[in-house]
Amino acid sequence: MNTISRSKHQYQIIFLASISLILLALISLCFGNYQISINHLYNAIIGQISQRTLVSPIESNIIFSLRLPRMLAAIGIGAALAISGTAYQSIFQNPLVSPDLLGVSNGAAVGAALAILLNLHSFGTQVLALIFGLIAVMLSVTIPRMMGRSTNLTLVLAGVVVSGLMQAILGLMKYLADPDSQLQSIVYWQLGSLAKVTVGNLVSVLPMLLVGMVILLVMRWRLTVLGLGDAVAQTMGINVARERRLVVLCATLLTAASVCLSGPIGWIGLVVPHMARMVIGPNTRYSLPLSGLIGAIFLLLVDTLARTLSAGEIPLSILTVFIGTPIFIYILATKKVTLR
Amino acid sequence: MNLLKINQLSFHYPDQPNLFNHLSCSLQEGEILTILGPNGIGKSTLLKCLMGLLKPTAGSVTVNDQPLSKLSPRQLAQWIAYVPQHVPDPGSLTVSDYLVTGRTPYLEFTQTPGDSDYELVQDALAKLSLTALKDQEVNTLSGGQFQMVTIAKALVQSPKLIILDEPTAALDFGRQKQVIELIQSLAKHHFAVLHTTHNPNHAFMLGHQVGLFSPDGHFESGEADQLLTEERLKQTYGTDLKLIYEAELGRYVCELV
Repeated sequence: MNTISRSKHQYQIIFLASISLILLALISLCFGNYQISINHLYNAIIGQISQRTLVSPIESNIIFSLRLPRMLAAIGIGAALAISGTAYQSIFQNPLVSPDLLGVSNGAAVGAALAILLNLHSFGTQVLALIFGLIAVMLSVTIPRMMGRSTNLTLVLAGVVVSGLMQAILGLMKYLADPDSQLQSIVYWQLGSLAKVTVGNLVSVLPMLLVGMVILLVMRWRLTVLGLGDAVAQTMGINVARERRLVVLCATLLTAASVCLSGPIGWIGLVVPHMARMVIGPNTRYSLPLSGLIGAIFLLLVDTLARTLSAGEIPLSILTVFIGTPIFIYILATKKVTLR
Repeated sequence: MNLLKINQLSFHYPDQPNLFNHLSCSLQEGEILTILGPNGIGKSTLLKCLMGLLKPTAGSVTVNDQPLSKLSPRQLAQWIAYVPQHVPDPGSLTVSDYLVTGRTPYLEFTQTPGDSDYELVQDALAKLSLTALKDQEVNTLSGGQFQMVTIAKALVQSPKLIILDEPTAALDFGRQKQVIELIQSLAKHHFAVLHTTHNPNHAFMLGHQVGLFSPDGHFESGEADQLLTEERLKQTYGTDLKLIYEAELGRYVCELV
């Protein structure tokens, strides 16, 4: 009885988070350098559906060509990074790892920058981002094993090392890039921003985002079993090696897709999974979907602030760090994180 | 039909001498096998070989007459539940959520546990008088409570054979008795139980089969009363001890001198 009422409580939280996300999404369409009232937004949406002109073409254009793709990108990337962080934390049984700390974000960034150097199109960019993301995570996992000491801390340290290596490679690429065209686009894209998101590149990464999210959401409960440790999961009948590869592949897919879309955006993959666990408990059956929702809310909120607070936009990745750092220090200070 | 058959099993860690050599033993449903032996002789290693967590260097293990190597992890988990000596810290999951992971071998890849799975959890908790703990976070339990919870998880797994590695190690007197009684009741309900212990009295209390490692790694099995002589126990533990027949209890009692 009690167990059932508990899960009801958890579904209520998830429902509440979903409603908040929808409301915030509508609000974000109204805010920006050019304010649009709720009435106009309503008319614009009705007009769009019924193929009539109820608002000025400028407003309609701002809503559907500029803000809508950007809003969807913020939701997709926020959810992807948070889900990917939750999955990494479970599978490595380590609350301190994330797409950034494992070097995956920077690895994917190297792949994407290489694609810019090679003048590849969006599909090639995604493939290279995924490959280099996978290389980064494999390096991070292998280094502690070679040292013969796989602890939480050695994995984090290996991630820092790999991250640094990837940053150096990125630096080398900037050095080699054509300063007139390629260098600019690498540097600008590396800042982490949603300003350049178009319907086109949103659609092109959508399959990657969907595949990664759907598989990890399906596995949301198995992740709890995998999080109990390899030997336990195996004696529970799980083919650990195979499922771990699948989880790492999907989490890396999500990170690579978001890096392709916006450049690396830090901290969401580390901080949001902790926020979700604080609200709903450690069972990934509930914390994984909630983490996705909070990630989407967080990034959408930050992006809306970024383009509303000042006329010239504040780069997104800077704001996420400013907001994420105090939250993470708070979580560490309240000892919700144990180090082994 | 043997539920578990160990045939000429040997194992050594890389670059180390054999822990056990040509070890043979079998277990039918409704039977209990109590394994005794000095520290570091390979009891836990043997159990890990039985669970496919370590690969024996020679010999074979069959479960229900099928070789262990032919069984998928999932099939094996439906036959055998294993409670290791050191269970990794499951963090702040609730006891119910932790126990329900025992249903994994019966759930498809896309499934999550449902009401019927949680009912089995309630049953297991009730059987071990742990119901009061069900919503408590696992990492707030005492060592003994956690040990009982890990045994409850094995029950939730509803296997044919339960393997327990020193299940009474962290338990108080009362809880030890409870685990011994649980093992007896499992055997009555046609489960097979294989467990290790450092207390020879547990072997006398349970009766059934005993497997004894001597300090040279030699393994013998047989009935408790015949196998466990004073001489053998002294040799096994390398210390002076007394076996006294206690008429009131109707069994031998082993006491250190």
